[in-house]
Amino acid sequence: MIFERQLKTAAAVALLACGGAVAVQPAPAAAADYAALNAAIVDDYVLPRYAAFAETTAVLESELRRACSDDVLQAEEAAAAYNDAMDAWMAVQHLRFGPAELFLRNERIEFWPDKRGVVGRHLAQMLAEQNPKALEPQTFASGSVAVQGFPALERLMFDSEASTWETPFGCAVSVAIGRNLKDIAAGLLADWQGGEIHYAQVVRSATEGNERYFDAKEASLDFAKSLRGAILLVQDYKLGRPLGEQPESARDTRAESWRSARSLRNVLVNLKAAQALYEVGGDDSFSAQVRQHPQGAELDRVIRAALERLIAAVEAEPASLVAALKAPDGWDRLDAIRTEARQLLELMGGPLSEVLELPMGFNSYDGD
Amino acid sequence: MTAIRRRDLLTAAAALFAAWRLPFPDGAQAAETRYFVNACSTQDGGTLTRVFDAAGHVVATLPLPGRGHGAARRPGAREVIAFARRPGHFAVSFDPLSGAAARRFDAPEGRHFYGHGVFSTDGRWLFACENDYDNARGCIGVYDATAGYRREAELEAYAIGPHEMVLLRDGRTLAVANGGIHTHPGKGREKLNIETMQPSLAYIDSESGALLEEYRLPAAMHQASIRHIAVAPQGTVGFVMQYEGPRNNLVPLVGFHRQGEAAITLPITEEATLRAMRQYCGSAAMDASGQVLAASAPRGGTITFWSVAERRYLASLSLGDGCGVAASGEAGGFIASSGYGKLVHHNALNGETRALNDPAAPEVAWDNHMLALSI
Repeated sequence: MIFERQLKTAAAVALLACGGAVAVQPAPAAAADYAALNAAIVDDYVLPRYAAFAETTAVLESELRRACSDDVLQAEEAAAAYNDAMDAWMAVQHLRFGPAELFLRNERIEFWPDKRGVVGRHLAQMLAEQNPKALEPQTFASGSVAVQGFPALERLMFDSEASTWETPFGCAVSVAIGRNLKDIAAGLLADWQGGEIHYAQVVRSATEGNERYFDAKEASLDFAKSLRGAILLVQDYKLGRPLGEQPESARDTRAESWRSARSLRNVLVNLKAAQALYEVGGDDSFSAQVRQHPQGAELDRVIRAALERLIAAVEAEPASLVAALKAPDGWDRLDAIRTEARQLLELMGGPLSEVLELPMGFNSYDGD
Repeated sequence: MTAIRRRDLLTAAAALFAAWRLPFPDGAQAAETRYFVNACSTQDGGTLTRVFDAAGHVVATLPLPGRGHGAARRPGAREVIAFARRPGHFAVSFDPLSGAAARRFDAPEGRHFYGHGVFSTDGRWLFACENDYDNARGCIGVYDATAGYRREAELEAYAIGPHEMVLLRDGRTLAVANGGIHTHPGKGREKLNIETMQPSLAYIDSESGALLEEYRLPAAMHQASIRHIAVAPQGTVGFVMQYEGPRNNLVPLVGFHRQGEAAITLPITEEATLRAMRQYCGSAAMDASGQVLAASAPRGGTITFWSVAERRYLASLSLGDGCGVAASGEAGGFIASSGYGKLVHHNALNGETRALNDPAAPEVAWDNHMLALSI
């Protein structure tokens, strides 16, 4: 059934693309209120999400301390807190600009994809050396990024080899990761909310132009690129890498979070985050701005329908990509989701960019 | 020899006309036809370069191993070089009328292409803008087209980041747009020296490699990367910039110079025009008559046109994500392409615009640069 639906999107892509190719210039839209859109996204989307990330990582830290009270990590005791914190991270993972770019925060929170197995190597080294000084907050935060975040914690908590790491020092490492994640998340929220960086204010004051943004439209572009970036992450990295080109070339250990059996739960949260970003802001939302465009009503309908179909399709799968691939026709179903995500990306890079006048894809923002 | 080539050409042209169900005009083979080369991406992410005619009809398609960038026409031959986009290593020589690839060659170990190059007038030497990244040094690779594009020499660029260059009408002097930005493939496309960058316009003797003249921007503009360059038949070069400084600081983005002049001219431009260009020019082209410079500004969705003689802004054309631009052949005429797949002919002297289209060709996103050539 999903194939049938997918054809609809494919046809819509072709139709919208052809429609666009005839006119030299898009019909002028009612002047989009980028400043209002930015303000709504900051207040109703970015800040609450980073607040949730800060909150859940704080809980994770205290749960890890508790799970380590006997000097041996009782992983199941912290599993719920781990999942909540991961959910909160997946809800902001696509916001890769501003405070997230500072201090290698993105990489420190989640060093992934880890094509060369750096996480396992550096973690094993740290566990072998058993140097307590390496776990002091400052030292830990400025050490290897690969052991600082979720992937290393996931190994300690969920890896089948974890028993070999069930030492008091392994426990101390997991607590150090919890504290580090809490600190990074608190820093992200603080930098958005105030302080020297006060990025919420940078976005709001973009209207007059500032060192970071030419104008409000340029700040909206960062959000538009985040929207497309969420789908690109899903399509290219989270599904594309493990699925490969044929069922025979699938490699489920390339999936994000496969050890904690939540690869597709990650995808689901990412997709919901994209959907919410597209719709946040009421009359100023991306969605509303598309609808206000003379040729935008159909485009908006197709994009919203595609997001809903993607979410429903992933919801119908188990949280674990490893499990989903083992099911009959599992690869085909995931491949169909990937295909639909790719078609949505085409809509975003083409007609959506054009209608919003926010080029998310191509010539404008690659600096050549 | 000549007869065979001529017959091949006739056959190709006849097939082309047949494909479009157009009458094959007698004597069409006698006059030169203008073609355009532009790298592009297909909707499923394929990378290629397309050759099309003045109507926008696709003549040939060449798949590329990665995203393409600029192209260079080899004088006296039915041959074009398609370059990889930085930090790519490949270049492909191909027949622009058939799309048949003749040879792939690569930048040597320790160098990558910037994506632009130009041939010597006799068609033997290909000069390619390259990055000697471990030494943070710009250079110009010299490749022998008669020896399978063997790399025979390397010239200094006398700055970091030689991005595009043109050969002046003396057939010997290269005018090089040195962007000034250091990047290293180990760090992706990250810009590593924004605080200290020093772009330049350098005139280099292509035979001796000597630096003939060098011009810098005023100190306050050192973060304006001189990226793309075009030359008028009369000898004036126009260059266009990408500003890396604070986003609320508006600076000129277009400059003119003629070899021997004491300094670069930066036309005083109205704030509204600069704002519309959003601090970023994507490519430069000179019209066939040498009267008009086109400077595309894809972030602003506009192509701006400048009088070469008066060195001032003339007008602009709105084209969302429009970047590739090349002389169409008529005075003031340009063809421009966009990331949204559009092709437009625009004459900056009379303001006329018409959309070009090939209904039979699949939709593509046009990449940064267009090359015009006549065969």
